[in-house]
Amino acid sequence: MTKKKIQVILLSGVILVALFLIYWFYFSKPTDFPSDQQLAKEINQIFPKADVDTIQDTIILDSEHVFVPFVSSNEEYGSSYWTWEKHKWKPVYINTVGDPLVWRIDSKDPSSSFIVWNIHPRDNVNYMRFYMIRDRGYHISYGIHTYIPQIQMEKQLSLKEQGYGVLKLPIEWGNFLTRANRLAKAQNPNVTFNSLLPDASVYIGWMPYNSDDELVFPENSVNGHGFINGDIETDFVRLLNEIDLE
Amino acid sequence: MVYSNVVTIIATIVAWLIIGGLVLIKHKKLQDKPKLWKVILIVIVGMFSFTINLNFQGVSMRIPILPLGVLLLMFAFRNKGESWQKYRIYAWIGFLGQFIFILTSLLTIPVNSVLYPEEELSTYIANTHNANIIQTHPSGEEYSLNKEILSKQIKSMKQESVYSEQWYQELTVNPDSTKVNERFPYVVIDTLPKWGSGFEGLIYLEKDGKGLLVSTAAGQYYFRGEVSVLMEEQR
Repeated sequence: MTKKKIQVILLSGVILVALFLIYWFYFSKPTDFPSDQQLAKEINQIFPKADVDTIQDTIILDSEHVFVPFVSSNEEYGSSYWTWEKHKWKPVYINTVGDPLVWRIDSKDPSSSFIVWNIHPRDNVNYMRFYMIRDRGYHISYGIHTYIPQIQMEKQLSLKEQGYGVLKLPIEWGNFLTRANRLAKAQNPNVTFNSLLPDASVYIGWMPYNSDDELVFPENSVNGHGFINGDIETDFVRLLNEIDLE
Repeated sequence: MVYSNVVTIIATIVAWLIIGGLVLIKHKKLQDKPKLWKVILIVIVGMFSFTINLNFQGVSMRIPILPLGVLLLMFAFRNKGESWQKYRIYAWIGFLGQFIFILTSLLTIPVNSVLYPEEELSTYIANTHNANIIQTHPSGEEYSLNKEILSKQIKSMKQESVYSEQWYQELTVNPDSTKVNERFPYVVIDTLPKWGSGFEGLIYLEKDGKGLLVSTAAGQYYFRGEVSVLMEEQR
């Protein structure tokens, strides 16, 4: 009798410890964000090419996601994306440049995404325009017509004070995206979507301007080296020309 | 038509109730009552069959071709001939259940077309209390939505044809002008569709404020009204 009781107690003990460990590992709340020195050290250990010299800032996007722009000893302006997972802060993506990227911090809610960037001062970008675009189209099948109106929404941002920054997806963009995504899912109920934009014809783009209102090519902020160190969901931000807009 | 709405949910519930009813009726008739949990298990296994998926009028159905579950049970009971006699009927009820599901699914088609007619705007917009518009193209003006006018016109707006190719061509064949006018530069948000309709989609508003292009999983519907629902921005 007592042998059985001991077994039951031991088993419950093991289960409890296991549950606690699972909670601690996967679900516990974040501890303090590492200091700048620790951040630089960790980035350089994981991806030496980043060659971090100075951490520019730590921008909190939500309780588990932080964007950290940095300058390398080679005067390159790079970007690192930190996520709280498995009980530590981890740089899930590092890049030696900071061309704008859409970071989907909540895959279930694309409207909570952020556009993040770190533009090199030598590119002389004074302000940027971001666009969310869906090209016009139409299709006819079995005599049923579908017209797809053009979507083109703009958001302008000044870069005067600092070359790095984050932009939460504008409310109207989120409004449109949420509905467009629900429609896309209703049209394809058996497909799982892996992008911000299940409606694959929607994309986000940008145009950088200098202080003379001219479009510039930000050569120091693009074509860098990226390093993926974990799970991250991002979307490309296309560089646009005036000809791409209406 | 619509994938998951009140009608399809009720149809599923009704199908299960019928199956459950058949099982209970059979169960009551027998003197030598078999255990109920065994019966339920056998019914569920009996439902398992090789099916092909078919889409009819927007309703997806699984047509059973082979009663795999029943065959499986026959094999499992091959040495217990007597109890198979008892349980056999329940396995077939399970298989019959698949057909009951098909029947109720088919019935949703006429019910849906009566309750949620796809050619009427009121199916897609029933409540404009929190409605608003967002401008989705630069060729729109900074107007806002007149909820009262929209609300009043819901019943009177008539369905018209979508001329997708024509509308597309009208705009793109204009190489010299830099400013392109989009026919539908606004999207209506925060309206509520008819309760239970399961409508998920986008509602575009025409530049003159009198046309609504409703995009749903089942297709597009275009409605025209007499009065514009746009008004100058209220500051």
